[in-house]
Amino acid sequence: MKNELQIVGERRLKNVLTIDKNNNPDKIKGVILSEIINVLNNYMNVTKGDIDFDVAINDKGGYTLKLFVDVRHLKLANHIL
Amino acid sequence: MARRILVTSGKGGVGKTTICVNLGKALTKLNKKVLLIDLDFGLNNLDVVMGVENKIVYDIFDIMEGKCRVEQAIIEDFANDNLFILPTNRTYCPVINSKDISEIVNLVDDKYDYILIDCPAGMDDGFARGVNICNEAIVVVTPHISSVRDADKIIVKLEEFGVSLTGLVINRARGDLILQGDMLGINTIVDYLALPLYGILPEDDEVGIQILVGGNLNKLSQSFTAYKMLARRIAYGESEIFDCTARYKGFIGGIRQKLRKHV
Repeated sequence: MKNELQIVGERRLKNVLTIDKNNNPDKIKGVILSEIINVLNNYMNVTKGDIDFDVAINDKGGYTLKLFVDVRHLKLANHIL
Repeated sequence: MARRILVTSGKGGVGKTTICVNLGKALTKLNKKVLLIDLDFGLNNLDVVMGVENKIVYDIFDIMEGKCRVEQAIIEDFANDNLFILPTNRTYCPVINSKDISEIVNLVDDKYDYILIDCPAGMDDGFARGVNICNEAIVVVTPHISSVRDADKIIVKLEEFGVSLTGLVINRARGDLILQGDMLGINTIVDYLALPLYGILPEDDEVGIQILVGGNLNKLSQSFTAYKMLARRIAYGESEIFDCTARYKGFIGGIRQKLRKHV
């Protein structure tokens, strides 16, 4: 059974964890994005402009990675295999 | 080869050293041979908690400086046959890096089943020295926001250093406060830190008495039982975890809870 104090404590904990994670610099986001582009380019031609990428804090104090990619063609299967 | 386990936390004062010693003792009861290494240079206390501070002749720095062999610096616990400590005992600490420590540990690695490393608080050089020679870690937290926050950062660091197996130990849990909702819940901490829970250790006056006089925990204490479960979890993967709320449940437990709150 949770009482008011425990709820306040949990809210504060979530808050500090979220603040800490939000303090991650954009540089990290940039590194992740460039790695993703490298991987995706094995299967399709994509540039930074084709990708909508974000790292958000979720309810559990962890991260949710959002990735939307607009791509016209996939590379031919025999080229990949 | 010994299992090398780093006992770390991020925040200071959460009980890393005490857990190192008592987990080591509990593992010896399972017929494991255990070496404890104090890497908390300058703020060393492993020897005191273990009660062997007067037995130190050489320490880890003497080995590095070639003044003694590793075996000469290692001290056997007077109360437990299979428990040993490699102490540090200097106020001034010469420069020492992971490679030096690793060479020393490699020399004795095959003589023990477990090597528990008492890591300093924080995540700078001291942490790096410890984590570089371990492939497993125990993250110690208390049910307090500051402790959980720091542990969250240490877990990220452990992943960066490639520590493959990490578990969580919640220390100084008060069952009465958890039941009343006056302390962070166990599930909340486990959910946020997202690590397998290895064990829960209760807030227990017996631990203070043990540190005061040296020696072993009272076998009738809650802590003794909790450490026994923790050791079995680590050694054999058993799932039983100490329930710090059990003694505050039911009619008698309710009275005990009220007494603890008001007396």
